Amino acid sequence: MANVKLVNINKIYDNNVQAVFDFNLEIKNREFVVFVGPSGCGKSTTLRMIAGLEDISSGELYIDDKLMNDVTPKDRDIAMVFQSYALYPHMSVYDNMAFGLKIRRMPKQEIDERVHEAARILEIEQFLDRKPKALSGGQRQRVALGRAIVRHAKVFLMDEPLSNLDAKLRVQMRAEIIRLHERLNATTIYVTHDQTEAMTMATRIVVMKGGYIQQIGAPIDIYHNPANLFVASFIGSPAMNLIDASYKKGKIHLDETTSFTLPQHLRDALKAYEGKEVVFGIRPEDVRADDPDLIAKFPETGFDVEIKVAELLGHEYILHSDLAKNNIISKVQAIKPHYIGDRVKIYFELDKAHVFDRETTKVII
Amino acid sequence: MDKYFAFKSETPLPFTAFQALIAENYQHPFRISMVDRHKGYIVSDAALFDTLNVLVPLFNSDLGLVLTFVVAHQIDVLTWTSLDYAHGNRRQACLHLGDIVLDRMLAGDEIMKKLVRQQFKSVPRELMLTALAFVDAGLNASRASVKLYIHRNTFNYRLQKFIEYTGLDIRDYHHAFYFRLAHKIILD
Repeated sequence: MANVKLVNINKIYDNNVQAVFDFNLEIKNREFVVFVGPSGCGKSTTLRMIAGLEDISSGELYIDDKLMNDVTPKDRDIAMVFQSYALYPHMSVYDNMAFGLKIRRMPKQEIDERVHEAARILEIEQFLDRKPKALSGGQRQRVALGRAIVRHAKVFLMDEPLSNLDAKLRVQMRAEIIRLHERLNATTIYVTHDQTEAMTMATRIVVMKGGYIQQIGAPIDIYHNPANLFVASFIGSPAMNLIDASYKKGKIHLDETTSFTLPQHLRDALKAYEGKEVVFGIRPEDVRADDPDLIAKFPETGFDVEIKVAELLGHEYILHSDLAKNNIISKVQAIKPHYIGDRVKIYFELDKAHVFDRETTKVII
Repeated sequence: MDKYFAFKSETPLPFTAFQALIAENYQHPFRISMVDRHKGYIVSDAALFDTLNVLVPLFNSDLGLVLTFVVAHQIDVLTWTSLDYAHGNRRQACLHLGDIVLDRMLAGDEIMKKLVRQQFKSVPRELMLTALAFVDAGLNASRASVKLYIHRNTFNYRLQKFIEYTGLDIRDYHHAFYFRLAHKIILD
């Protein structure tokens, strides 16, 4: 297995459109790194540059500390899995997995051992005689993974491999890929637009937007400490509540009549923002109606609101309400039913709140 | 009607393995002609497009080939120019000529526009009008013949003549799309 290093990587197409800007990242051996972001953010382009399917306009790519910019794709020792799980339609599962090794003139016995080993890991041994059309979507994707595994490549690249699967199968395959990674301990770079996939699978996440890296970090760090408004709104479901506000004399003012005092340590961090426009951010799980400890700790943040939408998830409700002309999402335990039109008093857990600079969109606290 | 699948490879093509891989997965006749060790074209019917779309990533993972295909109605300077552009910007893909021409039109590529105009320079006006009426009528021959005030049989005759003259079977959506773009370029 191998480490991967991208140094000042840029991608500019012939028509002068720049897709990737100054991308810097070091991926350690055996890491599972996920590139996540909306469509068109440059994540697949970056993956394709690592694979050698796109030229690198400027910058350097190293795999195992060797410069790869001018190395052909087949010599980079990389295995790729695609969204469309590329399989030979007229070959059996066995032949699909063996074909690449046969072309490389590997001994028959070794091919057989590798194919059976991969099939065992992926639990597809009983399908080895079948053709792809006789397999389900999840089974086909496992065969595509098998084709990558038999290569014993240094680095695995996966480009939205679960996007073609239905929601339930996606959850199942996510877990299988994680198990596979733990078993193989392979350096893996995974691209997705789905923040849930990123959060559940990655050892580290690279959040991208418009060709730029927004933040790199472990899922839990990115979740709790977003670097800017985009990361805060993109990561987490339901999304973080973001409300335009102003900061004055230790208080956050959501509008003329709605305000609350911040704890001292947060006020200290906001000294330079006295009288300025900011964005107040708080995650739905930190806006609660039924927590006596929270009520006692932050009584000034209690706001009486009307429920506009009540989504029951089973163990909890996600409530949508209006506060200071903003839609605010909160979570409450499903101890009793909640209906549209009911009134609840919601409280903010301010220790977990964020404030962003409205101009630069960067996080202040 | 046969189509031409021009291709370009990043590295020299292992011809035997390449041919074998296509033959293994495509059950219709096809013929491969190489221009040099990196470039060539395949002649076959439209069904090869779907097969190549599946095989393109497999060419990479199993043969180590980064290949780009452009499907056109003939092999000429326009097709090779489009292929070079596609390989530089949308590598490892199987694309229709019309898609490349559209890209380049939007980018204001005057060289590409000139090549497109040259393709239709000597096509008789009557045949161009016939083709245009057909495309404008949503590929409906009856409506097109009404629009041109000609008998349906006359229309069919002229349409066939256009197809034979240009190699562009505009009864096929992708050819019709390309022709529509080409006509816009000619008008401009």
